[in-house]
Amino acid sequence: MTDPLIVARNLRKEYGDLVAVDDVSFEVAPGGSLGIVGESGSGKTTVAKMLVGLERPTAGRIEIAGTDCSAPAKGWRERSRRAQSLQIVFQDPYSSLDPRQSVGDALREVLVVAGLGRDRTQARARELVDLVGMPERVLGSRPSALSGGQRQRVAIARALATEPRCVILDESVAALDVSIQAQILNLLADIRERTGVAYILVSHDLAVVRHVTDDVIVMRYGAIVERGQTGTVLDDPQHPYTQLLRESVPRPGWVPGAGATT
Amino acid sequence: MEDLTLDVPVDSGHGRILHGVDLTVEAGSAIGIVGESGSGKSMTVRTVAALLPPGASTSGRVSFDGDQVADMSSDRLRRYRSSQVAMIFQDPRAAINPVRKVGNFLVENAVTNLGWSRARAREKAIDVLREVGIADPERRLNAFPSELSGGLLQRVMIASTLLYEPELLLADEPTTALDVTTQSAVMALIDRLRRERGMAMVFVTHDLELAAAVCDTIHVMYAGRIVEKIPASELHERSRHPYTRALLDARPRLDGRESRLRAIPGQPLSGLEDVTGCAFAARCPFAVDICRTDEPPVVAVETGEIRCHRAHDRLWGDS
Repeated sequence: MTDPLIVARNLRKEYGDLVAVDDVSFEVAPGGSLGIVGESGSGKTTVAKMLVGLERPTAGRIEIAGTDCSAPAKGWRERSRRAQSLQIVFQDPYSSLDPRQSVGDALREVLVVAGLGRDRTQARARELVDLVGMPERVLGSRPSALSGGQRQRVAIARALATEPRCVILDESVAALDVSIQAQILNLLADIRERTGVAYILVSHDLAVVRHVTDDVIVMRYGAIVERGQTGTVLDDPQHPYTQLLRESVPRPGWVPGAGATT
Repeated sequence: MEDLTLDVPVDSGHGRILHGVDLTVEAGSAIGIVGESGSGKSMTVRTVAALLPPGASTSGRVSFDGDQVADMSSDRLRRYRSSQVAMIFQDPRAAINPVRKVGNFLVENAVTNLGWSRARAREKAIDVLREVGIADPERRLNAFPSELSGGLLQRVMIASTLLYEPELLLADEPTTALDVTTQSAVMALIDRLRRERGMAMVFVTHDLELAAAVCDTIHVMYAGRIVEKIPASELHERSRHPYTRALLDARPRLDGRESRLRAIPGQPLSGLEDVTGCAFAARCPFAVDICRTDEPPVVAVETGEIRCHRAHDRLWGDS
């Protein structure tokens, strides 16, 4: 059996009296895919932020590719090494790109930080926009000249720049129009086939989670309430909260309000 | 609404964002307007409420119960917007003054718009808060908006519309910013209140499945035009416009997994863009020469209407 790429053990995050994440453990295999499902306040985004070192766990351990990453990286050398293992793409492509920076500059910046020689960054930036299905000329565009879907492609290209072994997708397709969301989901599947990258998908959208992931954890109030293979959990949810989530998804013949409270 | 066009100021002068929209809402019925960004769905309902951006101009007619909205005096318009139509928005926090307490918001509006005494308005406010499922309404009257969750605040907005007993509720993505379980509860509330009161609704959403669940008729919009009208119950089996079908097919499934989705190529078009022919032609797998040259007519079909040159062709084996 191959060693897991990412191991989270008994993660806990407190903000004062609030326990945002409570005893969360999971593993992601190389090339694997894990869905983290939950609503506002479930702690799912806090888990993602601890994985990429934007938040320090109050307790617990994070190992990425065999290295202890429980505390945020110290120094640029360690930060760039971690960036080659794990990247994150956020929900809002409007706020995650610097409006003053061209697409090409945004990509080259990441490549330089990752230690690529300046002579090679131009070629690699071209490869990256091609990988996310965009024409080369967008390298000269600023984010304001791009649509939401195009900006999210750029954010994905930037996350892939360092050839990470895993990308966290934090509601990365939630704000997109249905037709564009389908394009981006297909792009993510193509990229996985070509690069063998693993995904951690943080999402409230069960259909998207089903489409992208093999395994899933369902979180509520900071704790995992159910886990298993995504298909099994969604077809036959065991925990009442997972059942409620499943029942809340509009579909043919659906009646709103089954078992729900505000 | 008959043959409505809406022009708004843009950098280069005026841009048309609605192109000949026809919409009929029967008393007590619920119609859904579904579309992607730029389709004009929000502007369509704002036009009904006469809530348009500065400098906007319209042609065509919007009438409510026989009265032309464009001819209403400002007094008449205030009465129209309170006792006849009410509107709720995606972001309740943007529609409520953050430094006014919930009670102040509900009571002052009723005193100003309905001429009620403060005591009567307060009593009614408590009634409507209770009716939208808010426990301990007396205490909630003293809460600031920031102290309430998004779901509770949207309930407050719904409660505020009930004070006026409007005949038509205009709901613009009222649950889009809410969690799925909260969306389900808030939709159930809107649906119940609407049926109990015989209130009509125009429900704007990007979510076809949600619209189909709570509306009688679905109107699909693309690039500032209604491209299909169909009874909600027929949507899945018998919709015929290539865009409606493409939208239904593009969503991932909850009950299974495909290796790739049937994505629609290209970008959604806004009404502002100049098009020759059919606005959807560039993304449509069935487009033929005429689609790229002539604007398609509205064609009556068994299920309703579609705006498509290929309305009578059997594009799918089953329809």
